Amino acid sequence: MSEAYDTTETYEAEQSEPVLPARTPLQESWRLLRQNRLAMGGLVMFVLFFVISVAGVFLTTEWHPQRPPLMNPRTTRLPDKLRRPLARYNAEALRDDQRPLGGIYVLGTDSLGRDVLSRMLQGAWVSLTVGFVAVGISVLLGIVIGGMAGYWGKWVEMFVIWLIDVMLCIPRFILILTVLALWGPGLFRIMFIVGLTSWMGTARFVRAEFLSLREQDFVTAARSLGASDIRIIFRHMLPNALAPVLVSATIGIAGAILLEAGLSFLGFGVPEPHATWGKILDDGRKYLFDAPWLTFIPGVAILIVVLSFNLFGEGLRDAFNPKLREGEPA
Amino acid sequence: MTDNGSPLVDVRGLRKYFPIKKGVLKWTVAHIQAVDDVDLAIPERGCVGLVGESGCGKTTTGRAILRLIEPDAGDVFFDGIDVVNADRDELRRLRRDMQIIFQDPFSSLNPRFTVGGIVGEGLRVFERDRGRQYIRDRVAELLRTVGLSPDATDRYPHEFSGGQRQRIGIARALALNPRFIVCDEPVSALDVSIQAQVINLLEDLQEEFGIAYLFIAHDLSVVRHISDEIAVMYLGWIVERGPADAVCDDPLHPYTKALLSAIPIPDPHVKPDRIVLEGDVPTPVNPPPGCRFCPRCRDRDEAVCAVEVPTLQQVQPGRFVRCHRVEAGPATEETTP
Repeated sequence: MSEAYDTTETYEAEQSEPVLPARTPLQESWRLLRQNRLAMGGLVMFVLFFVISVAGVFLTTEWHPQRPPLMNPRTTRLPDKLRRPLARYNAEALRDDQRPLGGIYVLGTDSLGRDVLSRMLQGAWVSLTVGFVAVGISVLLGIVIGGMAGYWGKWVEMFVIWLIDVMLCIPRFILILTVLALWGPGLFRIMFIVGLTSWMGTARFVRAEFLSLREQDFVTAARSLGASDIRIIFRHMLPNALAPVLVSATIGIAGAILLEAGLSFLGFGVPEPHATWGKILDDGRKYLFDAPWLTFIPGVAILIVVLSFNLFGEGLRDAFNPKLREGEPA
Repeated sequence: MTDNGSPLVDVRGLRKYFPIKKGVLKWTVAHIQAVDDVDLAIPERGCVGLVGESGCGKTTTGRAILRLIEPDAGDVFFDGIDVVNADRDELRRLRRDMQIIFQDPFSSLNPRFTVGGIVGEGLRVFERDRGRQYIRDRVAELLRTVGLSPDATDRYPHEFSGGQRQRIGIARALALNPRFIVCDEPVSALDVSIQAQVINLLEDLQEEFGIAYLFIAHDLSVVRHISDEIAVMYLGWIVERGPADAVCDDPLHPYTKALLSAIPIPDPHVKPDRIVLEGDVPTPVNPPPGCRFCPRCRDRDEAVCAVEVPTLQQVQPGRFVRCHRVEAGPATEETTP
C-alpha cells in the first residue's frame, strides 16, 4: 500500500473518536450479575456447597483399610441413638473408634446412632455429582440434537420436534422408577437416566437460537469463506447460542438434585450403606416427632441448594439479557 | 483466461423461487418469484451495478451467484467454471476467489470473535499450515489496507463505529485475495460522509488488486459513480442493462426513468420533474401477467403490455431493455435463450 487514500486522513479522525467502553460482553454480564444480590447469594451458596461436597469426600471416604476416615458415616452407636444436635458423645458406653470428630454430634445422630453430619457430608457429594453429571449429559445431548435440528432443518428438524414432544409426554419420574426397578439402583444409572430424560428443554433452546443465528450475516460470511459445517456450528454459532443453555443448565442442576433426592426418598437411590440427602430424609421420617432434626436438616439443605441454584440461574438469565445492557444497542 | 473477451462472471437465466409452505403437512402453496431469468456479465476488473427498490431480488441474485443460496435454474460461470453444479471440493476452491461484503455492519460481524478472528477466519480455513504468526501478520496488513490500525486485532466488533465495522467486513472479504466480490449494499447503512470514504476505499482496492465487483445498491447515484455497467432490477427481472453513463443520462425503460427522476437534486430552486409511480410494487408471489411493470407504467399499452411477457432485447449497441414500448434500434438481437 504505497498510495495514501483520501480515507487515511479521516481514519485518524475515526480512531480518535471515542469508542464504546472496552468491555467484552462477558465482562458486561459479570457487572450486571454483581448488581443482583440474590444471584450473588446463590453463587456464594453454590461455591460453598461445592467446597463442602469436596471436603466431605475427603473426610468421609475410607482411603486405606487400616485407617478409618476422620468422620465415618457408617459407624453405628446404639447407645447414642437419636441424640440432639450439638450433643456430647457418651464416652463410657462407646469404644474409642466410635468417637465422632471433636467428641460432639454437631447435627445429632439417627436411629442407629450414626453421625448425621458425616452422613450429610457424604450425601452432598452424591447430590453434586448427580446434578452436574446428569445435567452435563442432558446439555450435551440437547446441544447436539437441537443444533442439528436448527442448522439442517427439513426432516431432521421435523423428527427432532416430534421426538421432543414424545419425550415430554412420558412422565419422567415414573419412567425413571421403572428403569431403576428393572435395572436395579446405582449412582451412575441415576445420573445416566436423569440425563437421558431431561435434554428436551436444552434442545428446544438451541434449536431456536440456531434458527435465528443461521440467517445472520456473519454465518453467511463464514460459509462464503469456505468454513465447513462443523466449523460453522461449533465456532461461529454455538458460542452465540450458549447463554440461554447455561441458564437452563444451572436451573436443571437444581431439578436433578431434587429428582435424586426424591428417588432416594422412595428407596430407588444409591444403595445402602451410602448416604444421600433423600435417604436421610426418608430415615428421619419415622422419627419426625422424636427427632425432628433428622428430617429438617436434609430438608433445609436440599431447599437451600436448590434455591441458590435457581436464584443464580435466574440472575444469569438477567445478566445475559441484552436489553438490560448499557451502551450497546444489543 | 478471460482475455479472450468472455466475462469473469457469466450469469445466464438465473432463477430463484422461494416456496411458501402452509399447514401441518407443509405443502407448498405458492412461490415467491424472487429472481427470474437474470442475465449478467461481469468482466475481469470490472464493476457492474445492480439497482432496484427493496424486495426486487438484488440481494438474492448476489447470493445465488455465490451459491450462498442455491439457485433453482440457470447457470453461473466463474472464469469458465460451472459454479451451480460445482461439487463440495470445487465449491470450496471457488470460495477463495469469490467473496461478499454485507449491508449491515452489525449482524455481519460475529460478536464473540475478535477483529483478528473475524478477518483471519478465511486464512485459518485455507492457510492454516502457514502458522499463527503468518496469519497475524497478514491480518495486520489487511487492517492497514482498509485504513484501520493493526491495534484493532484483539478488540471486539462492538467497540467500533459503523464505518469502522464495514472496513473490518471489507478486510475479511479481502483476506483470501479474491478476484470477485459481491458488494451487497455496502454503504446503505452508513452516514453519507462515511459512505464516500467506503466507496473510495472500494475503488482504490479495485485498482490495486484488480477485483471485479457486483455492486448492489438502491441508490443510482452511488452506483453510477463506481460502476462501468448498470443493471436495473424490478420484481425479479432485469429491465434495463447498459453502460453506466448511458443508462443514467438517457434511460430507456420507463422504470429507469422513474428511478432517475427520484434522485434528489441539491438545489432548492430547481423544481425536479418527478415521475411518481402509481400504486405499490405488486407481490412477487403473484406477479402481473405480461410485463411485470405494466400496472404502474406511464407508457403502457394495455393490449400488449398486460398480456405478453417482454424479453430483454438489445435496442442499441450494448444496451438491453425489457419493454414492449421501446423501439428497437438497428442492431436488434434476441438475447434471451
